[in-house]
Amino acid sequence: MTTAASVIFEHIAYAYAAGHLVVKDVCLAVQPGEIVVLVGPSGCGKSTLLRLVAGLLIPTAGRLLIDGSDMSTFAPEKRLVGWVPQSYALFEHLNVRDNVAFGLRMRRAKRELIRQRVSEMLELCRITDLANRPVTQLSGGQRQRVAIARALAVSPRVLLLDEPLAALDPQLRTAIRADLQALLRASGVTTLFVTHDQEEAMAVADRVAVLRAGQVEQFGTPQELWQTPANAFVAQFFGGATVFTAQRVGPGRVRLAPGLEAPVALSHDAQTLQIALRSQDLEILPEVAPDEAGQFVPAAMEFAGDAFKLTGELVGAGALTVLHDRPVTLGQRYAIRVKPGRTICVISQNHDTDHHSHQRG
Amino acid sequence: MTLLRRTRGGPADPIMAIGRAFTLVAVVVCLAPLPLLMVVATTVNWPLGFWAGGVTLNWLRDGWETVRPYAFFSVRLALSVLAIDLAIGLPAAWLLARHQFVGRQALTTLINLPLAIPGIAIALALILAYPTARASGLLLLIGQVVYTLPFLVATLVPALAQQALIEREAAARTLGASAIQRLWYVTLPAIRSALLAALILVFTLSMGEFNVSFFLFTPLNKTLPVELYSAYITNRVEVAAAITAIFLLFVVPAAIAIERLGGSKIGQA
Repeated sequence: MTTAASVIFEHIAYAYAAGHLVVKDVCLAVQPGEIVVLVGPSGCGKSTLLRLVAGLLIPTAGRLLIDGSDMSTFAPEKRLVGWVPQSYALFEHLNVRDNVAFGLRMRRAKRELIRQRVSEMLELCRITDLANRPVTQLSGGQRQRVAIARALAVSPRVLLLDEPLAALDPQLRTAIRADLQALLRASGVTTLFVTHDQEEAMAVADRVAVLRAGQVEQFGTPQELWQTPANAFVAQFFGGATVFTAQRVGPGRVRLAPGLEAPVALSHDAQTLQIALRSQDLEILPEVAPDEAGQFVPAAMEFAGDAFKLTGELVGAGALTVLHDRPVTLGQRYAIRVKPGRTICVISQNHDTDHHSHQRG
Repeated sequence: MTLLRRTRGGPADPIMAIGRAFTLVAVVVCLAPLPLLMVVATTVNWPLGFWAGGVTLNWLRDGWETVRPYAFFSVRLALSVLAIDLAIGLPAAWLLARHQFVGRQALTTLINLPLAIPGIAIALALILAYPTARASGLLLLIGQVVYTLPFLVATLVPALAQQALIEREAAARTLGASAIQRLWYVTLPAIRSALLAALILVFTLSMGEFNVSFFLFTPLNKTLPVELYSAYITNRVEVAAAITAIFLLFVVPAAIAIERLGGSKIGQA
């Protein structure tokens, strides 16, 4: 029903005020029909990128191509791009049906076409029952669906979703996320989806662009980003990993901390490697420790349902989070090792020196 | 009335109690003249006391005969002021709410300046600047526009500056709405109550304005409050009371409408 279009960012830059770039030299090529998630901490420029695609902002430099043609300076009303802001921006004085019909009415579509298209959209977004309700009486999830139905009704070439799940209750978020993904797949529209939540990004995306300070740090499938993070920032922010500097002790083997060695996925030549350690990679051992083990001193413990989440210090290395199935005594030393059979993720590039601290992203 | 309502379940607070008592006294003092006015306006011979000589509607009828032309003039003037305020004030409020520009602060100050200047001074300044415009009544119109405009702008600016409204307009834009379509289908419905409140406010202020009008009126362009003043100077007190009652008939419904429309929106500049 929609003609999915490609979106290409060619060296896009944007400055709100002279000299203050919020987007710096972004290059991305989004395939027709693809769901691309832009993920990054607040202030990384991800919402600005959406506004640039929508035409609400004009790039300071670079070109934006939609379906192969340069749209950089086109007015938003002529771009045929659907934009759903975080607030959903529903027209509060209209009911659900009139909200969904708005775009078609503004474009002076034929009455019959509007009727047909609106009922299709209500159906697709499963809000047919709410058609005559004022939007002020809807729940957060329902409002989100109305906003998406409204944006899709004009058959946009690209759909832009700015933190579509952020306004919802945390309990509902996972369920609505699955619904949303199904809806996007069903509509087949090229989608740019902004979030600050890496779990959400992994769940929804065909490909993910990790952004920091207005730049793309890595662009790839969720699996690629998880398995081969391009730098420490991606490993920390997207992979939820703790980044350590480890010493190479043999082919495909590194030492993380005194007594703690592990196999690594790639055989690197460098003596010093940056590795990304995830809480799932490690296990705390019973009291009697074998020789081959590191030492971990838990400083805080959170009950997380199926496990305890321990935050503490890996002796000789730095701060670390580990999952453990039993409560521990805080401040006491525990033996720790990499789970047998696990290989540790090595960060491919090593240029990222300012982020090799042991903080999590 | 909310001021008088006791906070349910809360501990007794002597300061709140004093506040409530004070408010009650203030309300009584302010409202007491109104019933008294009606009594005076319907008493045959007020100097002799309450309803002395019986109850009559003659004063009200005489009062109406006296002020009728001025009342209609005031309504026409208020509607003209309204139209001009809207034509100047809506774009000005738009600019102030939506744009950062050099001289923005200066424009705000300029619009609000008349609030700080006594009406007499505004009137005299206008007479000195445009002496020939007075006879036609044009100065009266200008004077009232200058006096009422800050109220209109101050009511509209916060309504137009709402971030939610700006986002809705942007969404409408991506949906293909032109500038005029956005104004008509998104902006105006969203600020409807603030706009209506502003219009009624301007209408009421114009109807009741005395300071500026007293210096700028001409025998052919005389407003209701100015006529009310001469009634007090020259007529029996009963007629003056009757005219006042008639005046309130014009203004009070508008004031109630403002309150209903959310008077709280007014003055949130």
